[in-house]
Amino acid sequence: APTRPPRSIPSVLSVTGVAAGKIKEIMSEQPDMKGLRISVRTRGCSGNAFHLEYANKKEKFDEEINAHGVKVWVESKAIIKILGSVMDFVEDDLTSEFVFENPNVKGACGCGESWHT
Amino acid sequence: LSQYPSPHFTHITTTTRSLHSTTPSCKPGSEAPTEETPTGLIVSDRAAERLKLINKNKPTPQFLRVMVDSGGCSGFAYDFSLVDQDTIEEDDRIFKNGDSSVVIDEVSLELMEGSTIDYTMELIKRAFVVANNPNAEAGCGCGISFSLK
Repeated sequence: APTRPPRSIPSVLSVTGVAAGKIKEIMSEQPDMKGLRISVRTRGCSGNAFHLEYANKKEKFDEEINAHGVKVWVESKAIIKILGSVMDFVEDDLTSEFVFENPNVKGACGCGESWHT
Repeated sequence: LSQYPSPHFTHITTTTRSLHSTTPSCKPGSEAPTEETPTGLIVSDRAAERLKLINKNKPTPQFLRVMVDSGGCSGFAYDFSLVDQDTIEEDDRIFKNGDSSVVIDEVSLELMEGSTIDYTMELIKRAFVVANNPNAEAGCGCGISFSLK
């Protein structure tokens, strides 16, 4: 099987091929939209939770991520909290969700949805 | 306690036992899983649709089992799994929406009577959830864990 090329410069966010495939799929449901915006909301028992929404343009100071043919914008306020995170997508019969492996997280809620840095 | 004559205790024990054994148990069949009643759980259309979709690719029909377990940051936590019909026990109750069935044990049901089993469809996450549990105080942010009122 072909091996992945080694990662080069660490970015604000990297997106796995699986996550990008899923993003492509959900973008096709919203043809007017150009990408996904990731932000961090104050929520849950550990303070922060990722939030995803459709977006049609890059806002000022957003960090633009291009990965596997998809566009993801990281809201400026969120950049410092998610620097170096990996966005992946996991799926089984009961749950399908985008998950973030975030090196800045110091602790998280039992379910892992909310966290603090 | 040792001062009491032991036959007294023996007698009580015997009486209790015989009372228990002669009390007619529930009618035959009444302990089998019962069908939907007005109280209990509501299975939302979205949850039923999702379960139907899951079952398209399964060799045997799958039931969605909901359980309340201790855990999470608020004391109790919901747990979902897919189970075969032969795992359904006498103290289980079944709630249906169309062909889709949700199964729950009686102890768990007491803690979530009146709840809706739903399937959330957010961009970030799609999952079975328990919504509007009248017995629960708002719990964890993700809604998996809760505390009782």
